[in-house]
Amino acid sequence: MKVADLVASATAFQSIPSEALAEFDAKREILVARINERMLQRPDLDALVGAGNQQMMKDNHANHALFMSAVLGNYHAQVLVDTILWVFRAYRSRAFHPNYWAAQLNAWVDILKQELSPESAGAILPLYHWMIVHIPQFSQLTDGAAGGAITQKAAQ
Amino acid sequence: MRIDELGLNRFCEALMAGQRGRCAAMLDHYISRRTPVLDLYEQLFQPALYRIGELWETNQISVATEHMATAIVEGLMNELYPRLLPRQRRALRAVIASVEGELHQVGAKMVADIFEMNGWDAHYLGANMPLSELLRMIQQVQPHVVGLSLSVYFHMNLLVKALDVLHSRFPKLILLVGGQGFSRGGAAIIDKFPNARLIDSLHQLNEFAAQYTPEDLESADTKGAS
Repeated sequence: MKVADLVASATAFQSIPSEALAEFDAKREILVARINERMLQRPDLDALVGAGNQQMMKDNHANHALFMSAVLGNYHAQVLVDTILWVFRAYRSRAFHPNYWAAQLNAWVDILKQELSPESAGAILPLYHWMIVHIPQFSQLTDGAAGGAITQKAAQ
Repeated sequence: MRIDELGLNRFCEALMAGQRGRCAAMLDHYISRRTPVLDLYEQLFQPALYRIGELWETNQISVATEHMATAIVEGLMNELYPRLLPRQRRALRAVIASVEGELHQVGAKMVADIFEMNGWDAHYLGANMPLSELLRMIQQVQPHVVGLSLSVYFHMNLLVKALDVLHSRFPKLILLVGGQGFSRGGAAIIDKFPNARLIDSLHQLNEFAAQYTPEDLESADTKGAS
């Protein structure tokens, strides 16, 4: 699947109702705290994000929440796809494994269901399901980024 | 003198090696050949920093190297400052800042310099400007234009919030926005603010800053509500 195909498949989404966005924004810090708790408890965390990358992971969670707020409020399929690919490249070059995103995004789904009202979660979750379904495509399109020069040198 | 790909490559190499002196010598070389400051910004500093950002993205360089390169470029811009001031000032004022939460600032600094090149007084506030402090500065300076820089799309909501408040408090104030944050989209978000304009390039900004005169600009209602 090419980037253009991903963008085409993402065009069905729209900006979410303002009430849902407001709730997401109001609870953003709590949501980020929850995802951090959930991921830090995982015994396979080093395999998912690379040794020593826990702070980088937490930074990603904070940025993810900010970005999702921006996208959910003013939806733009090209921005969504390009940014996801940017994130995959940047973090895979630093030893994050594609399985991290499967673990992370599935955890986000659970947390959003727990923390948001059913109406808000219902408005937001379709986009998360789309992202989860397309993790293989994001991985395939960013395979060249895995193991950037600095990570490789450190491993030697 | 046009800056070619070889010159850009050499400059990038020197930046990443932390060779401040070599970078300064290269700058002097272009200045001695009468390269305009705008060309130095558009053809040397900006593409070099974009390239360095891409190298960081793919983990080819560390964040420390990226910061060092950025700091060298900011230092070179400071050295250029006396050269870019025109003889005549134009009694026009701009306030330029990076959006709250946005830690990148070189783009906003370039914007401020380009206003200064065109005779404006540009009040450059740097990175991560809290909205409340920006409002206070606008009350104090009473600018004709406010420029907000967005380097990362993650901060779009903060930009929109700032534009909402600025448009509400100062409805006649011209609001310019720009930066790498718009490189993949987001222009349509600005359309709902009648006095906001997306600036796509330093060249476009230079034309804006050069063309507007005190007679063209309506007096900015910057007294607003306190």
